[in-house]
Amino acid sequence: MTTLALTINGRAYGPTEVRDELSMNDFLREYLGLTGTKFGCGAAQCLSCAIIVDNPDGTSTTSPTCVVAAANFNGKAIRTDEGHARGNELSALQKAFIEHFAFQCGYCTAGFLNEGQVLLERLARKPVARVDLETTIAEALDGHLCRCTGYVKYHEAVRDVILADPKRYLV
Amino acid sequence: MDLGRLKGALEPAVVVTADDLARIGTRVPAFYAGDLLCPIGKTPLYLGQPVALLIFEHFDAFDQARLALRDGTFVRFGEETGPIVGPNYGAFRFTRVAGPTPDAPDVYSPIQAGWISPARIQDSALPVWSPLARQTPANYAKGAVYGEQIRAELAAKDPTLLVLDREFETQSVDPMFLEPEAGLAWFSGDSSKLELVLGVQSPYDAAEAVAFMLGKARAPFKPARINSHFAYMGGGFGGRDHTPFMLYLALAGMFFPGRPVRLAHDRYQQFQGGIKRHAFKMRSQIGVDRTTGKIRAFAADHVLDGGGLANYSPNVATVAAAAAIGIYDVPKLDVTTVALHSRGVTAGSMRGYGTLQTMTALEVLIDETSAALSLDPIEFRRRNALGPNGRTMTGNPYTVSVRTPEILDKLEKHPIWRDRAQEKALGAQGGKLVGTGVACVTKDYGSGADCSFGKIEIDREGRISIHCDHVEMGTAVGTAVANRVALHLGAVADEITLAQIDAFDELALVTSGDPYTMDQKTQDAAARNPRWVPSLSTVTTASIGAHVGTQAAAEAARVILRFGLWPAALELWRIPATDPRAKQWETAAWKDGHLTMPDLAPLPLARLAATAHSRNLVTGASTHAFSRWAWSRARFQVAGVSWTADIDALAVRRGDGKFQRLDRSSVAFPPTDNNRIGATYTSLCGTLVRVEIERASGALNIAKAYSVLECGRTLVPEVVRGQAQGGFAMGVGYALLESLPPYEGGPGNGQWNLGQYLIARGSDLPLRDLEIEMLPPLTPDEPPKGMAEVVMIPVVPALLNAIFDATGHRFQSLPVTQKILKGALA
Amino acid sequence: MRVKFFVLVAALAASVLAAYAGTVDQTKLVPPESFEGIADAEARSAAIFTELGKVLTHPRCVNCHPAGDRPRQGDEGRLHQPPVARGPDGHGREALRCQTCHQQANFEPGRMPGNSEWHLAPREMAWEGKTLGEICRQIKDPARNGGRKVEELIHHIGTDTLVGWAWKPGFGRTPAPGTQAEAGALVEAWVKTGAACPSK
Repeated sequence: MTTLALTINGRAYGPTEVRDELSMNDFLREYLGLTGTKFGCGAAQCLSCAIIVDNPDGTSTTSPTCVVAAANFNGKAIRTDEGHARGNELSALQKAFIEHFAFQCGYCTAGFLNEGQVLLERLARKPVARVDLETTIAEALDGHLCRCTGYVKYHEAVRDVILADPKRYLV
Repeated sequence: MDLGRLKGALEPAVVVTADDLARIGTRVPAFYAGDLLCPIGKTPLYLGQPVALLIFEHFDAFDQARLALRDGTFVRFGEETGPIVGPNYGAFRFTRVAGPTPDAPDVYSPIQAGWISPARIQDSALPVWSPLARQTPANYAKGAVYGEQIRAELAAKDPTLLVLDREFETQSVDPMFLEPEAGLAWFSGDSSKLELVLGVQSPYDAAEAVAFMLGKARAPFKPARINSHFAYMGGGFGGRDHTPFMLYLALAGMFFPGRPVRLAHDRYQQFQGGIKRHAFKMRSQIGVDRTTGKIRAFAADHVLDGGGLANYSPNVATVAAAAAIGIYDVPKLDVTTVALHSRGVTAGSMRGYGTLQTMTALEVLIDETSAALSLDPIEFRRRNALGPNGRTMTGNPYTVSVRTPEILDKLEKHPIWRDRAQEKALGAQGGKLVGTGVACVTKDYGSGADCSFGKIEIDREGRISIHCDHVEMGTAVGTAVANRVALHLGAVADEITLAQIDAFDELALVTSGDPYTMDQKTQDAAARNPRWVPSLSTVTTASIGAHVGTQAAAEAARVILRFGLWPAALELWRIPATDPRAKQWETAAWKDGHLTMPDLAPLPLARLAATAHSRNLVTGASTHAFSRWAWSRARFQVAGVSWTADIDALAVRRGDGKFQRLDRSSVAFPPTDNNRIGATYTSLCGTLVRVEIERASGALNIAKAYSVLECGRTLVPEVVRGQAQGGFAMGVGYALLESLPPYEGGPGNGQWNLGQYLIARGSDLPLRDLEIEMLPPLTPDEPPKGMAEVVMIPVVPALLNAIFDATGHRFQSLPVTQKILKGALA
Repeated sequence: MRVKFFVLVAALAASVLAAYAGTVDQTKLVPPESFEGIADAEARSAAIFTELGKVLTHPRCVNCHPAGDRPRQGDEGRLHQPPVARGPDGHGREALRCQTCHQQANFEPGRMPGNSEWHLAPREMAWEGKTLGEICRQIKDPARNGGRKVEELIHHIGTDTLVGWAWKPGFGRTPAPGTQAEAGALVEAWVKTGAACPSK
């Protein structure tokens, strides 16, 4: 057993004792009822289970939750897909997903949303050249599997959020 | 079972075995025939067959126990017996001989003669196709004689005929929807009610199957009521249609009374127990007139591996066979098909339903044939395309548009096709093997006995709510229904509830018999009961969302418009009943939520709704529709007016009142002979691909692709585009990446996951160079057509044809992986 | 005559080895003493390296010593899924670092291998597709082995924790043959006998 205390979507959780072998995915879904994070493969192959980890240095990365112990998130600050909207106000990326009809069944969407959001924040800190934009998006999203959409509109949605605010995201 | 390893914290609260199922008196519905749990002393029917249900009281116990079970040594086996041999799941022969001219009646066809099957030979899984076999039924012999004649002509070495005889093999694949199968069951022992939460494509059939399974169970294992709640699904693709998962879920609930139980596959278990696509072995022979380039005859033999349980195997076999000639007009046809039992994982419904396999083989064969005749591949297709009045394999024409020439023209004019020689040369200069491939297919939509329910209500403020029985799995059927309803009611619904099977009690419908096998006399007699319909609610499958799923709701909307909003409009416009315009409700148009007629003030929906309510006009309608390759049509008396529509049941609500059923005054159900039809509904899709192959490594890059399709009225264009993009990706996976070993070493071993089973990623696709074109409807009133399957199909043979163009190697099996390509190029 | 004798002995040694390999359990490592029967020191040294080669060519090692920029995974050595690349520092590209999934230790419920040092061996240390002889010469070459003296390899193979992971890889992965200590002993014996390489 390990003590787990962390921040999720700005809210403090714990301290609570968790089994060493409890996955973060099961902790979120079973213990906290935060079922916005999905379970697709349990093997870090599809990244439907990915959440955002906010590092102390101001950077953020995504992390799968199915192959990582909940205990490993002790002391961390994370964001799940429940944390993107502010009340009823959807984030720019959420709105773009809807406008573009980017998702179909929606099961992989939380992962794409988190990954896209991390990419936006990364580009805001380190913009890229326009000519490199599509490749940058493709590299960021390629770890995420989708069986319904064929990916095109996910990429277009992320791209269009960036192109709508080029000063922020592009060199 | 080695239950000893599950002691202490890991111990299950309940263990359910085959003995327990027998003891409590469960029955397995015929569709799922086979032991739900393998009994002790028996050889399992298939690899991965479940042995027991272990139910744990707490998540932690379950979570720890599953680690102890995953090495595959939990179950103990006795002596090796070899696999169970079983009879085949169905064998059929489709033969057609056209008459001397296109207008003359066919000499022989399935629609005239009925569908035929060879006799079952005892102790043999394989049928005997010869018409001369003993015990051959007379009707089979008749068709088979024609069939054998056709084959003899193909074998006769006629110098005027080019004959190609080829074998093609496809692989087992997994639907790989991202959400593994899962559900909840709660049997509250005292109230004897079983609650289920399920995500299935066939809510009605699922509820019926569970009811049958427990229907004669001994107390306290027989629930008095079963209440099913149906959820949206994280993908389906056919793989959530008629799977045995729900039976295990219900059992889990029954054996743990008083508490809700969850059964959820992880991905290893989903690969192990989930339904697969059939692997096909096909032999095809095509005979083409060397002078005219017209196909004279086609013969094929299909063998499907159905895996351990029958599931949909017979249907997949017949649908696949009927599609074996794709878009072509072939006057002499003979196709045999048989679905075998094997020890592999069960195969069933999956996007394309067998036509993906047969049309892939066909379009590769067509490409080779056109090359052998030195004919342009698109010209060859054009020359042989079936026209709108042409007869399909079963001998009937399509009843919808057949737009093959337009699709072929689009393919021919596209830069990917036009520039192929130049791009190939450029590639060669750069040391790359570049090739271009084309394919064009047509896929039926509809299953031959499809239904929909639809109920619409408008409140005083004009807010629209819809109830519908079709299900959501990413196909946006809710959006499609709302959009189609909006055509009649001027606004998109505020609320839509899907997967409803018990929200239509006001129609008080009854059903009996099997709509696929019923004879005309029985149907006529049953139809006299105004509440009888051939089928209540069917599976969301076969690309029927657009044309079936929306039908009942659309008809309900039309009733509300005609008998609610229109009389309200007439009153607001002060148009008396005697005015000729009073009858022109069909010419009124909706613009920005306002009902408009020339020279009259536009009326907003809210106002019309308020008026309809206050005048006690029709503010709600509930309907049912049935299609057996044509809609049922019935007449009703509504507000003293005769109303005829493509529905077979109707209830209306006036003002704030309750729904009242209106008995139909007459009905015409589609004739039972329609069951001899293969399909009447079809939609086309053609695809071009350009590939670049690296010789040294076999790495293949899809540089560009173009898919053009037609689907009648497009209810939600963005959704159609998304389906086409997703279908393209799934086709790429099927052609180049996905494969499951059929038996030992396959997913039945419970060790398969996405590290080994590769589906298409973004990097496998031409994300910025995938052009999708949707033809506008042929006529403004063309109904919607189903397209969600057809868009997956042509990319597969197009890729194989492109690979041939690039490398000179014509592959006759799938997938064509990098490793295989590298080997062929070495 | 001398030459002939030498060739005869070498041939004998080779055939003894071949027979040996055929009957021996591939999951075990034999101790250095087993090779004392080989009179010629160079041949004995090479034979010890060949035994060590069972470890070096095992999927647990080769998967992270790939020829290209993408690791492999599994006993079948398939390409790593999801697709990942070594990136500028061998710890992955920015979008997906090795540590994101491969954390401090194996996570058994997820069958996810882990170690605090998880990363790809540099390109110059690629073993995939190479013969034992080629690997041997490479492993001795300070330009390609991270500037190590041959003696330092005893520690690297015998006690390094990331290398040590190969013997405790977690569910679904076959461990490297023998134990890390046994492998270390073989390295030590190989060094002491002159660190000779197999000819091929």
